[in-house]
Amino acid sequence: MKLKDIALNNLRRRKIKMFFLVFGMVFGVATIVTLSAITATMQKEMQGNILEVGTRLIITPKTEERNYSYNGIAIPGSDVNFDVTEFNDGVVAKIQDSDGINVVAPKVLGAAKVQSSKRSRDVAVIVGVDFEKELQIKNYWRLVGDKPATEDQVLIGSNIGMEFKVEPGKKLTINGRDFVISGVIESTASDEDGLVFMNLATAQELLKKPDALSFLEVAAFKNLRATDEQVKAVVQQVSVKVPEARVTSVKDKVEARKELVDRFANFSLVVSVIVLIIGSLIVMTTMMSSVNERTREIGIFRAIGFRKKHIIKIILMEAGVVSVISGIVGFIVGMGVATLTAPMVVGNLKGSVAWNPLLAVGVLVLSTLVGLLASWYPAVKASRLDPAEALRFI
Amino acid sequence: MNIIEVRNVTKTYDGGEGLVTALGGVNLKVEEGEFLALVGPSGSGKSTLLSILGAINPPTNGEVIIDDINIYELSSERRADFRSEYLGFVFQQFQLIPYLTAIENVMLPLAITNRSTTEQREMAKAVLEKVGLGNKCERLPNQLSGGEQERVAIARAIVNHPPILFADEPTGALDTKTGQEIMDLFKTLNKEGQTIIMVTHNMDCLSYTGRAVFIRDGLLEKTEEYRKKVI
Ligand SMILES: Nc1ncnc2c1ncn2[C@@H]1O[C@H](COP(=O)(O)OP(=O)(O)O)[C@@H](O)[C@H]1O
Ligand SMILES: [Mg+2]
Repeated sequence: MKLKDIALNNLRRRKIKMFFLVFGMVFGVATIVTLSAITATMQKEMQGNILEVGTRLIITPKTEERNYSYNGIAIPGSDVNFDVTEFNDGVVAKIQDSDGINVVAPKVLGAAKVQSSKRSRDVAVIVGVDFEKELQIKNYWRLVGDKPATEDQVLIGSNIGMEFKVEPGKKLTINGRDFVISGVIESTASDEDGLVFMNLATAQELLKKPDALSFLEVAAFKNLRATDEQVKAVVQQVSVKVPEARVTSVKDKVEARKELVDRFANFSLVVSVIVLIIGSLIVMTTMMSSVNERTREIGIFRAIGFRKKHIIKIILMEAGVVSVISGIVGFIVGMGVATLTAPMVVGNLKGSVAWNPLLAVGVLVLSTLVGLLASWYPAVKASRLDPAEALRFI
Repeated sequence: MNIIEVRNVTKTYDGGEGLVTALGGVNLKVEEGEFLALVGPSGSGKSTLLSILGAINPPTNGEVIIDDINIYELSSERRADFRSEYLGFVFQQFQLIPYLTAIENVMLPLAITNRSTTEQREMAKAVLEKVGLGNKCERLPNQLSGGEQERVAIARAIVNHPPILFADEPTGALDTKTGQEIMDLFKTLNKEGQTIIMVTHNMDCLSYTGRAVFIRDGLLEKTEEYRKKVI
């Protein structure tokens, strides 16, 4: 028999007490694992959205008239008029050529009369897009149904779907022409929910705006979160090539989302720290009461010649075993809970919660460390028990 | 040859209500192979003296020499080693570890030696057989009778072959017949050469021992007459 056998036997034969300790620690570990796995999933998901296409820019035609003035007095002959409301098709190639540009998604906007078998509306916004490009940029879209394969198919926002009581496969008549709905975009909680997307050329024809583009959405710097400098450089380049363009970088949903994710990450961290502190206290009080309960036993160990370090070893081994078990079970439970709850918390989850071996190792080390550190004081206290005193009241 | 020599040992406890003198100047010599009884009423200082002899309770004054070692000059960890090497304890109320089986309890003193588990098991088995419990090795303490638990406690105390065996009221919790069996066991061990020092307040036990030392209010009484009477 070795010291570890003494420790193991004690654990084995005091199952209920140990069960509660393990249960408490599993709860703590699982909480930490769940939070960190969900945080990681959110971050990955967000990174994915940003990085897959790169930094998003919007290029619109300059519409305002600009006069140079001095003290409010217009300088004669100085009006530089870019009264352009629409680009023409040629601009796409020019912009596509610039450095760092990844995807250029041209769009034409217009109003049209939309009818389904159930409803009709005189003015609805139609967006003509290059679906291949559009879907690359809108990588956060989730479709019910499919993307359009032919010119006669359209994608609709979720509000349109609800308003016109249509679903994929149903017919929609737009400005008198029949289209089939190939898919519905799940709500993105933005204007997109109320739009009808169709093939660019078809839209140009339908809206009677041949060759015209209302604006371009551009993704620059694939796989990179662009710095302000880089964005400026692109803006510069584009302005030179297409003087009539105005470039703005999109502080869009991704930005808002990042803020949310960052806040959730901070919240997780705070909760984890609190859980760690509470967990340590639970381990410490449990080990302390276990030591107090075992006063006599420890007195016997000491009387028959166990050294202080032997006592410390026995108690720390018990704590170690409990912590390792709790770490493993807690990790599995935590990942289970994360997997189950991630779709709710993250929303629009495309991937799944990743089983990160680093997290597993980290959590195991952490729970073992907490278990050992929190048991250190009880163990030392036990080792200092006076055997004569411990054996006195018997 | 004296294996134990106690010189002017006093022990004062600082209890809640002032100082309590448990031992007031004890001198005692114990020869190797002796079976000595410490006899006295409750509160007379028997357990205190035994714990001082047993190297777990430093005296207030005086010294204890065992096998030429002044045991309270050792550091506390060295004294633990000393106990492991020299002393066996049979505590009051057996004091078995409840979550260890009989044989595991007996192996306990060996757990801190570097003997292999197999060797430990063989040694434990041998002493359990010697105390008549060879067939109950795997039982937990609460599955054993009082007499059986006492035997396990004795087996645990002697498994290491310590030069000195201490027992505090070993028959205190047992019925008369079982108590006699236990005393027989001690006597057998003593005949094999085991030095035994036993605390008791049961006069019937004295017929098994070689010598009795009477203790009253922390002081030893003369013992010569009793020795003659027994012999
Ligand atoms: N740790 C202690 N603290 C205070 N007083 C003690 C302590 N141990 C023993 N005593 C006192 O010392 C005296 C002798 O006790 P003890 O040696 O246990 O006697 P016995 O074993 O003969 O009954 C008693 O009065 C007891 O109350
Ligand atoms: Mg006593």
